[in-house]
Amino acid sequence: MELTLVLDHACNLRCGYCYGGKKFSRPMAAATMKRAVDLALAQQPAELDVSFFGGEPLLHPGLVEETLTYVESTVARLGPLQPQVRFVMNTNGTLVDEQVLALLAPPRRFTTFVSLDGPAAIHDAHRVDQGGRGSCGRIEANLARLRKNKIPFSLVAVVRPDNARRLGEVMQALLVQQPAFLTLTPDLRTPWTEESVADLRAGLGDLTEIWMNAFRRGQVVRVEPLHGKILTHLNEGIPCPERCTLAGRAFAVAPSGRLYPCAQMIGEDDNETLVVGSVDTGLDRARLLDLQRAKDRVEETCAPCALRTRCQSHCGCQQWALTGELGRINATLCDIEECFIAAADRAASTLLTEGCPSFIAAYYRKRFHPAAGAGLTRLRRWHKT
Amino acid sequence: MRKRLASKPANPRSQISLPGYPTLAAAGLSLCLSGSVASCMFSDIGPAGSPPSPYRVDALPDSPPPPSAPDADVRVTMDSGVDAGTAAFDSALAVPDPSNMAGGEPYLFVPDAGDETTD
Repeated sequence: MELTLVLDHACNLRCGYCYGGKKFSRPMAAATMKRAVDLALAQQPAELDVSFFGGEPLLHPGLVEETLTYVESTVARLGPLQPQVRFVMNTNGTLVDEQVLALLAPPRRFTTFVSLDGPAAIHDAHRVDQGGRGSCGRIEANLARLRKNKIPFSLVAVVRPDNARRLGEVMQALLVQQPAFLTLTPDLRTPWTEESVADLRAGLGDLTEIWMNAFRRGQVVRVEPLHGKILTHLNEGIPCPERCTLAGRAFAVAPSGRLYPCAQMIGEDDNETLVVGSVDTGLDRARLLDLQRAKDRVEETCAPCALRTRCQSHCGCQQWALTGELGRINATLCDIEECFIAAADRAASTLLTEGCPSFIAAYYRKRFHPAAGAGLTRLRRWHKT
Repeated sequence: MRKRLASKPANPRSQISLPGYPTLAAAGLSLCLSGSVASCMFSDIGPAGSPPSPYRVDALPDSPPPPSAPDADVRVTMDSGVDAGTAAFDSALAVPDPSNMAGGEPYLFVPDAGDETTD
């Protein structure tokens, strides 16, 4: 069970590509947070991920702390039925102070995702503050503080037509920060042309060279979605309808208390068609089923495609980002996914042909294959229930 | 004029050549997943309290969780053949199967020209 709490619409940055809408201040009330946590726990999950999202969630470290305390104390009272709890922070990385460091530090199980698009020349083109000033310098300084305090973090880089050709530079800049792993997130809301897809293909070529060289040095760096694409081949794919259940095992809560299938769908919290309940009334199962059926109509489009079991077309929020409609995708996704799959396969094939020990050890020799672990695990659970 | 991508899927990609690396099954391996989200996901960043490490894919547990773990109902069992599978894979590695290697265009498909637009 994943519970995503959007703590506020407000953000201290004004990233040009943000899908969150207007950055108005509407902090989530503590009572709303508690009802949301209670609603998630009422599902009796074996695992519970509580994810902080925004806006910028670290504008409200006090509410984060109150949430941690409430979750931990409530779960502790459940005795042997208590779920395994993990916390996830999705932050722009500009607001790291002593209080935040204390919240994120071990032994609390926190996974911290920080947005960093690459070197300053790339990152600061979009990720600016209200005065138009770039944020890269501040973020890099804060990542150094995280490292100093032994707080693991992962980096998320948005890939757009204007930086696609420069993914080699992006990769170098991100690796320097010593992240736990990297995620490349294509911006599906921006127009991609044939030229920009060609740039992506070339940029991924540079990036995978760096990735492969890391393997050759014995360093296994998880880079998503390349890692996931390799796994979909190793595991012979995952049937599309089983991969995204669109709030089947997760939901996001807007500051108002309204429930959405995914945090990326909340925006300004003004689209009634995507609301699937509230913390007061619970999940609207009938509404959710309608949305899930709409999402799965993508199969009518994708059924003939040989790449469908390795592709993200099943993902409801990606469908929404692409077309503003559930169940419908467009060629942008096809081309971008094909670029990533081809790049992943090229790297894997090359490393295997070379007999690269660290690649073989990572992907073929583990009793517990990484297998994007949680994703497949949840897949099985969804399938059973 | 920059040619924009089609507004709807132009393919489908109905024909592909297989990637040049074997699936786990083809390598004689079977997949064993922990049923525990925590043990899987935390393998990315190491156990709580451990120093951050950038390279965690190879830091996975060496043994399965006990059968009494809360998620036993969702555990995908099956790795009795892993060691043998690894050996089988060693053999496969020594002599790669050329028929399994990608050649030429990695993905072959026939785009539908009617689905493309220009502006």
